[in-house]
Amino acid sequence: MSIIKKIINFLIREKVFSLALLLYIIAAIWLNGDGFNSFYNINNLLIQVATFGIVALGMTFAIIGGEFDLSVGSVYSLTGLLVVGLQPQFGLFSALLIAITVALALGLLNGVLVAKAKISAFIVTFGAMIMVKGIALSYSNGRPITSTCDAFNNFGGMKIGGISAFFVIFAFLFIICHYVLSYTRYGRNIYAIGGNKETAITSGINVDFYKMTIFVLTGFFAGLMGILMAARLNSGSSVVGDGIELKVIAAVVIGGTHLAGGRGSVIRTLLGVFVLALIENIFNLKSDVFSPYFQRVIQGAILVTVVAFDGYNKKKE
Amino acid sequence: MKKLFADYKILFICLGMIIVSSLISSTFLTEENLLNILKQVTVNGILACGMTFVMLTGGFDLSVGSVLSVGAVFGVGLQFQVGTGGAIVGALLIGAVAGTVTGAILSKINANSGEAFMITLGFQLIYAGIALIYTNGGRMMLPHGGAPFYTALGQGKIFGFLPVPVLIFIIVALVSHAVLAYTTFGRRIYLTGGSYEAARLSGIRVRFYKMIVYAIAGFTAAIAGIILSARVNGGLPEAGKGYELYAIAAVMVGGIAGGDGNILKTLLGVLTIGILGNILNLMGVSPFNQRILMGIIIVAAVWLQRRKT
Repeated sequence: MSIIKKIINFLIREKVFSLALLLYIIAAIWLNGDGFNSFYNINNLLIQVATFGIVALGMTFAIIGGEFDLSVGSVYSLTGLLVVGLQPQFGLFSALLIAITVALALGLLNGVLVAKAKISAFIVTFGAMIMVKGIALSYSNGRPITSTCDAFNNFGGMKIGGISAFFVIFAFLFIICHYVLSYTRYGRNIYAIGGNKETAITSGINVDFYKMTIFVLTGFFAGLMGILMAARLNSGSSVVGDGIELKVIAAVVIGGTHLAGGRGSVIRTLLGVFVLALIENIFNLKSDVFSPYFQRVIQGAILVTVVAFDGYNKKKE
Repeated sequence: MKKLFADYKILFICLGMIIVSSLISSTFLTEENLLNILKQVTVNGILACGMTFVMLTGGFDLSVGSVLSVGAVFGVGLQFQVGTGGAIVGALLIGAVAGTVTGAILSKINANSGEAFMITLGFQLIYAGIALIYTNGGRMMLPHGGAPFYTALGQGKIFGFLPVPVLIFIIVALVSHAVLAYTTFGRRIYLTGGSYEAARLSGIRVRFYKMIVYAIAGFTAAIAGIILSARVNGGLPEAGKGYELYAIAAVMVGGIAGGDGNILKTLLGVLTIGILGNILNLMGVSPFNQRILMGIIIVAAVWLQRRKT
């Protein structure tokens, strides 16, 4: 087969990749006048990818393992608030430590309730989402907290080789996650428990343990991103993480990892994240055409379409 | 008596709440406060009746708050084109159609709870966006010269003392109860929520029933939206924000599960949640802390119901 045919077959088979490519080309041409191809905008795009991406890495583990975590948005907001709010009292380092510990602890709580108390992930993380949001609102009294630590604020704008440090961090974590999922026993077992839980149990895998680690991971990544975002915005707020959980789940599912579990990869997630980040970028550049209200409708439509198609396809298998 | 206790734990919880509340706060039993509770309970109650149908079939609908907003803004906004009567009919129709669209998709893919959550949340965004686009983010005002009939729906009193919204609520609750308890349609709804196989084998169109309950939820949401907009003399595009949470909490706390439950339990659940919110307000608990409590309650309510089986 000629090279051309191979490429075309690849594009047809990997629909998401083709979609991402198509969107990018359309944007590059249509929005050239709006500055899409400027270095500034590309950097923004990469930051968006990193923002969704880090949380999406954790969510990928969860979905492959047959679960999901709706509380990541609230944890994201809370850690941002904590790291900024506790700085004056405890210093930057301790604030960071406390914030990330809280995120891990919340993740562990989710994990224990799902794995041990056998309550569905949906109910547990839904309740956690509401509860943690309430904690965040209570702690901040509903107002954003501004960061006063220069080192922290400067980190938010840091660039490595001209590209935002966030993206570099994301790339680094991405490689680690891909390695773990594809080449370690831990990763293989995550696929196993997501695929068929009973088979996993009979093969001697400690399903409860793995499920707990999944939620600790989602909590960790959400917390990490909350801290990074607070550094970027120089402030923490209780609403900054609103809606992120859905966008992240949508990204993972768009990428081709099914909600049913047992399949997928972080590469697919990266594609999904890229598509969503691209769409948001287009929205921002063309905000005269896409009013914020219309954006909401489209985001909702994407979520519905993505989940509906995923749900529909799972029947066919 | 034992059976009554086992089945209707919510009744005792509710009574307990009333007693505890009146002990905690001296203003709890005042006429003004009770009227406040009634006002809240009316709107939540109408929503919860529709939500009961949905949850009886094992689903749930996070978009009802947005459908309420849509009902509110169109109920007011359409009056310019088709008058008060037309606007009311239009808003109700839009609510039902919105619910049908949601329900059609969910039933087509035989959604589980996770998918239902995300899809109905997607529709929450879509319908909220539609309400915002329709009003351009602002408030939809009533036509000049007012609309006495419409405003009466939210602010009027029948027989001199009974607020019209309460009357509407009573009618909605009675009709819902009658349908669920005494019609074939109602029986089939229970069957749909029970075992999927049993329902399919008994020959009923499970997909149809799983879809129609969302239309009902949308319809009741539109009713609630009309009442709310009539009460405040205008249609706010974010009028219904957050209401779905209270409706779901009320139905869950009331003890409704797939295939099991009735309107009376829902009403008790609505009352309990309403009293809880009220007493927390009277005690000065910040709305932020109330949210924490709400999250814990929902999880606890579900956990306790599961223990029963």
